[in-house]
Amino acid sequence: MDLNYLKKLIKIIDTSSISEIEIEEEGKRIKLSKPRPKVLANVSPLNVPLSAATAVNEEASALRKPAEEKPSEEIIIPFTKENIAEVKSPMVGTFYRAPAPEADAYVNVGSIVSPGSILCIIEAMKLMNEIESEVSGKIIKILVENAQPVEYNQPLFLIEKS
Amino acid sequence: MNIESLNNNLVKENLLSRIVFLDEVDSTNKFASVNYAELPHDTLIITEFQKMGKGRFERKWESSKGTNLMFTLLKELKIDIDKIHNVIFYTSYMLFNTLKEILDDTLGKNLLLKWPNDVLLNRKKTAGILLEVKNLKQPVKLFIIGIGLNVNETDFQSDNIVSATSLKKETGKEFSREDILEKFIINFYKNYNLLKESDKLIDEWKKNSFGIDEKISFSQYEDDKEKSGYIKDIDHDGAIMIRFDDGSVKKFYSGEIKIKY
Repeated sequence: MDLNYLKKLIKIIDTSSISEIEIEEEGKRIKLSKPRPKVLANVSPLNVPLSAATAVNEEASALRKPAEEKPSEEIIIPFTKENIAEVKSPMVGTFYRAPAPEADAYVNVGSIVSPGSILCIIEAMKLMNEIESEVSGKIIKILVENAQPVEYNQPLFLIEKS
Repeated sequence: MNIESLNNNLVKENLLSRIVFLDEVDSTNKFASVNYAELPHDTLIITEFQKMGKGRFERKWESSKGTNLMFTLLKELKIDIDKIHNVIFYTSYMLFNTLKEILDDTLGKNLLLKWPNDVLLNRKKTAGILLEVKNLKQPVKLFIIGIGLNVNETDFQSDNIVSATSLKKETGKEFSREDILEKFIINFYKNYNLLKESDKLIDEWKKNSFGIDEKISFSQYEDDKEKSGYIKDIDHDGAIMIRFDDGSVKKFYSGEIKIKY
């Protein structure tokens, strides 16, 4: 990640309604955030004269607008790291979704898994390593094609924890 | 198969905890993989006839009933995850040494290891090994070590006639399967130190390996296109280095090497 790339990113975020962005590529992670618009709940109309309260409310609705125009930020919430588990490859090898070429896949998108459920095989040097789930939940994404080589720590599955 | 003598020499000597003899089974590895929770470690599963080869790589292990050795050893080993491939090099090297003891000196010289898991006699495959690992993230892992060795087989199908062989086919002699199995188990259980010395293991393995600087073809995964090249080296981490015909050198942790006959 070079400095120019970083500067460009900052500019994009400054001029956008995004308040936070996290990018991961080639093992490097960068997280940028800017102050959010002031939270309005702190202003209690009851503590101020009626006229002032009206003014505040107007200001509030004016301020609220940009906040409401940030659906991209809101959508991210159900996919925060807390409820999504990423299963990574513990080794370099080849990813297999089934125990044998004609056999059914261990899991598919939508499969419910629990700790110890076998998710796939990583084969290296004719050693078949069963990769087990460490969490309970639902498979929401399979990130690697069957019979493809994988690197150490490469994400393989996304599991929505239950 | 004389199970009595195996019991006397391996179980009573406290090497194995139990021998499970199956007249017929799909595959001894599959049996072990399904039943491992009920079987004590150091169990040896042996069969006279395997109805199917084990899945992905062992295609179909050709076998007439009662002529070959097909067995699986359940072995718990404390080994780090980045060293587990040593178990495959160790197993094939112990099998190689066992066959060397059994064959006379002249023929013994024609034995070679082939990356990562085969034993060749006169450049033809006589044994194959397939390993599965359970409890990968635990310090003590369970290894399901499956071995198929062509001993007294003489009936080879035409598509395998070039690349597969048996001890009998190459020597004209019958061999005692019990004797080979016993010697292998003893070798396996008595040389653990080598399993801990990664670099030494790979170096010794490499000295007896087929094909450094030999012309081969290589495919990295199922359905991958075969590319021809030369074996350049085997790294201390177990990976194979291949120099392809376009001059590029690449390192692989999985794949299939084909000998050019």
